Amino acid sequence: MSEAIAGAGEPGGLLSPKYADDRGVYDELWSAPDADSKSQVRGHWQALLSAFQQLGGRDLEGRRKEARRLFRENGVSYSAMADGQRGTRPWELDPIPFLVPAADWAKIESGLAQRARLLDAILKDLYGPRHLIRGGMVPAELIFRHPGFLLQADGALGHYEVALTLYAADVVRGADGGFRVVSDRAQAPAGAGLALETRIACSRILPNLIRATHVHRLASFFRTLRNDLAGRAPHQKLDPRIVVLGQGSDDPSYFDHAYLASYLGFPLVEGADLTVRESHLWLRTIEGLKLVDMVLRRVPDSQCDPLELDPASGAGIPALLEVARRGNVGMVNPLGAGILENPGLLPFLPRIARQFLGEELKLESIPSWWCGDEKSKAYVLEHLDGLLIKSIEHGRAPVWGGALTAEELAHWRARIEKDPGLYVGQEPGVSATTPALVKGEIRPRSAVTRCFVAATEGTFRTMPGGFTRTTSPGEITGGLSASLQGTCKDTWVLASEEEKHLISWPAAAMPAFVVAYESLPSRAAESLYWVGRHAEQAEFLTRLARSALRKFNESRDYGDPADSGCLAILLYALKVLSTGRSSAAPTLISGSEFVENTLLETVRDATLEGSLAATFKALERSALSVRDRWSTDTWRVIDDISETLEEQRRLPRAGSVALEDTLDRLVSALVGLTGLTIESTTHEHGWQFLMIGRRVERARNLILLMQSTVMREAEEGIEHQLLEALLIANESVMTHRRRYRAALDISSAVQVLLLDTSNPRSLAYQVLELAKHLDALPREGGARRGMAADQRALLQASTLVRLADTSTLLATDVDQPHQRDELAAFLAAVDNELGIATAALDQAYFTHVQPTQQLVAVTRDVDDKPEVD
Amino acid sequence: MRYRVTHTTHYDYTDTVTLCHNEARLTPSSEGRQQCGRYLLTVTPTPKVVRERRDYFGNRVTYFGVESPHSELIVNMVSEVLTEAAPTQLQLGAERPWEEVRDAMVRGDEADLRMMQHFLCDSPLVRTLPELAGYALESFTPGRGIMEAAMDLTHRIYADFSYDSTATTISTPLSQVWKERRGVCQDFAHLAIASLRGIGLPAGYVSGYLETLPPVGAKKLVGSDASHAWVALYVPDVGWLEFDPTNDQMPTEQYIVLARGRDYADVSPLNGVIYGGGPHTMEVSVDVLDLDAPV
Repeated sequence: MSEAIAGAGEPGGLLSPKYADDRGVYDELWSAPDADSKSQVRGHWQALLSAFQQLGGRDLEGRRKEARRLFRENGVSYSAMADGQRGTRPWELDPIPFLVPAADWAKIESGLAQRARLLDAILKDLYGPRHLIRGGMVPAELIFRHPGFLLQADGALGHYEVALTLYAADVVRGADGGFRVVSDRAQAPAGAGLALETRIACSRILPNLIRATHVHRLASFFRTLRNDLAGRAPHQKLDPRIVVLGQGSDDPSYFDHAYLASYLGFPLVEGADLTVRESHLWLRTIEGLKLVDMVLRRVPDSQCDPLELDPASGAGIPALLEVARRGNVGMVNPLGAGILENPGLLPFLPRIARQFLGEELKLESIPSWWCGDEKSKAYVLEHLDGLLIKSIEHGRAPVWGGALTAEELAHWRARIEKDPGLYVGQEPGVSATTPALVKGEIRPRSAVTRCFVAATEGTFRTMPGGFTRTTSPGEITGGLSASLQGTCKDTWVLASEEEKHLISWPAAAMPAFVVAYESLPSRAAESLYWVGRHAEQAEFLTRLARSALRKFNESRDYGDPADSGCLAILLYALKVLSTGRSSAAPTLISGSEFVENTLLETVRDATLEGSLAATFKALERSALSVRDRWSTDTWRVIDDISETLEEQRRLPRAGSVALEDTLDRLVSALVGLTGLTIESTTHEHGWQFLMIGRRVERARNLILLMQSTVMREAEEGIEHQLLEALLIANESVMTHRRRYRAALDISSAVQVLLLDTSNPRSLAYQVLELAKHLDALPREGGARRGMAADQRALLQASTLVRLADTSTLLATDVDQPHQRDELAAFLAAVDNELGIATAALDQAYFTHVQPTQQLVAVTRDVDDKPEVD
Repeated sequence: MRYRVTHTTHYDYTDTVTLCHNEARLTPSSEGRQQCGRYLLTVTPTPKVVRERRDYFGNRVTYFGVESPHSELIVNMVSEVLTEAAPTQLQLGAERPWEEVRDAMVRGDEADLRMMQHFLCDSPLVRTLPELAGYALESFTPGRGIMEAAMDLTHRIYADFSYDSTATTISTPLSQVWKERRGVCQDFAHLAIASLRGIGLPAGYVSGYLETLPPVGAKKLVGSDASHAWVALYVPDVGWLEFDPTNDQMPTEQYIVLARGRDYADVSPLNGVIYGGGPHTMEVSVDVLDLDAPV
């Protein structure tokens, strides 16, 4: 009945001509056909639809592209990173939002609040008196066979007034227009960070529309969550220490965790950052162990404690459950909450609501049948080709009966008959559709929205929004609710007439990052130190490669033999600096192709040890592991560098012009990164470690550079060119010119590059600054303990650079007038002190987590598991 | 009988252990036909934290954490237990046809029966196999009294499987024990549990000790005893009936119960996680001393 939809199929129109045919039983955009088979655009969509139609498909696709760029820059696409590679399937944002009218939202909100209250009561009962099982309200088998029911957590929830602090539910619209819950998420519900990110991207690409539409904002939900969590922590401290426990940057949900952590202002930690002593949980920081009051965990139940739970869990903290059991740490959510994710519970919820709350369940679950019940089993077996088959065991993807062959259906029927208690049949819940942008047209899609609920003073609050994912209409993956990849939409909860004046959108819809930690975790200190080192190394290599490239171009253009001689030394220095070791003496280079290839490889071959590309990868990894500490701008620069290198890699081999352009862009970007990290990071301990890394690397690079270039006097023509190139590579030409006018010789170069304490690129400057940063670090026992080993080494190094003068350093032996042995000895001495200092630093501040092992390992009986589908 | 049980575990590490967290289930319960009197757990080096609690199954669990660097760990438990012989006469109801128990479990119309479902479901180390259910049915013939049938199953496991302490480890799957027909007490207990659960009867694992007697005329050797394990079958209105397939008998007063659970994973006497330590060796010695024996 496509003719019944006005506007659909108009030439150049935004609505797909097939919209009416493809839409579901209920459509978000169009009302159901009336008696004259006419459809109307629903009231809350009218203004927005015409706004989108004015923009047109091409413009909207452009905005989608912009959103893609924002996602990539902000690291959303990093979430699927595997062994250092960028994710190939990042989230794609559909600029058309999912609208929830105020009246519908009111139902969802109160329904979810009630449901959270109910699930909280169930959780406390199952780990307490177990009236539900004893009284037969829930079949014992359904609980006992679900791996989320942790016997170890029995009785461990007594400390919680409210146990289910943070809860998520996936909801869909049914054929009748009512919303229903597909599944409940209670262990470590992911997606809140993505919901925020989606909103931020959407407010960037549709700034006016979102404001004009009176959409509820998300920020206050998180503000309240932050305060509520602090209020719930044990020990009743004014300022409790709350950490977000993640599983490291390889976790597919890492971005989500990092984003949430930095938004809430809690440090993001891993299992190895925490330790249990004296029945309390402690965070390893550069200032020693600090008590942790509460853990917002992003780690599933079974992975949290290798002592009592899965012994193979690397992400956990031994004895965490014992600490939680004693009430010495608050867990959000408590260990054992996974039982609430049991799909077999859904059919029993209405009864339990009546029993526990004396209320009817406000928000229905999607119709589900647990096969352990005879009648339900009969229903499921009969309607198998129209149902999703879910197992109550973890780690099994649902199976969509509609996609099975007759033979497969028979196979599944037999399996269910054999062990009915293991299976749940569920309606697929894809009968409604919502408008979505597909290749420049609006087409109907199925949507599922993850909503977030948090406990607050005596009640539960629902985040006014959510994370909406879409699929093609009728496409039933079964993994819809579990999948964290694909196309997403921002969820716009519309304000009612009365609420409209309450919503104010600030000019910049970007919520500020809250980054303020009192004690820096040791692992973060280490990562920041390495970010500093790798960033400096990348910049140094880029500048040196650029000098070599220019020299190469000159040598080709003018054919001056001095140019080639200088180039040979520079290429040798580049090799020494990239690999960090000296190798055979420089050889004269023959053939421009060879030079070009060497330079290209050093820049872009990520598999070559110490290449610029490899250095940058290392920088990216270090930066990623403290992702929660970077502003969006900082991350954008890191992304730009990555892109620039990627572009360069795709270019054909020859082309030194393009290479020079790449190097210029890299220098600018790296300088930008330095500026951002220095200027936009508060001068706390994290900043000190970042700077220490930078200074150490620059000092050691200067030493290596001098060692690989000027240890022997070169022919006069070459030497002059070489010194000039070194000054350029070190951004010290201007300094030299101001001090010495044109007279460039080894003596003036050594003065500027090594000894000038006012040149921020000199060795002396690095050493003196480094000493200051080290003095600013927290010291065990305070100043009374005197100097630490690293400070002692730096005092030595400072003395060396302060006392040195060019005439002594450049004095030569009569027998070997061209050898600069004094200079070599000086450089080696400073280098030695720097080595001592960095080793001492490592020992004193970085994590030296010993590997743990099980004393008695009970492995699970893997051989006897039924076959996995 | 009055016994003094001494159970010592000694770990020797090649590297220093800086921190260790442990859980011990080494304290006998006071239950049924036994009373636990005095007991003393000694850990060397001295733990910073020691705390006792009851687990889900009612067993006494001791958590302890050693927080100072150490290169060996000694966990020594001495407990005194008074045991009685199991009633010799068949308890009322234990002769009923086994199907009645199975059907009562299916109906589950009492709170206790519902809670006992735990012992019907698969557990970490025991999953039922069709061949094991078949094996059980040879003893559990239609209408046979549950006690008699269970004793027959015990007898058949004893006869069909050979005791071989080298054949299996803690992680050997049941399917292999079944195929190779050899194992130790723990395997036989798991085998019996899987067989009973396979035909719908609730069965659990009992860990404990058995007093061993030296050959006539010989002196008993120190440390010659060992941890033991057997199986318990739940019969409504009667309680747990216990069988020891390793020795083809029902536990006598020489049996001391340490802990009960669904399988070994629930009752392991000592587990721990250590930081560092490197390769290490472990030695266990158990002594069950009859306090009334003539010296």
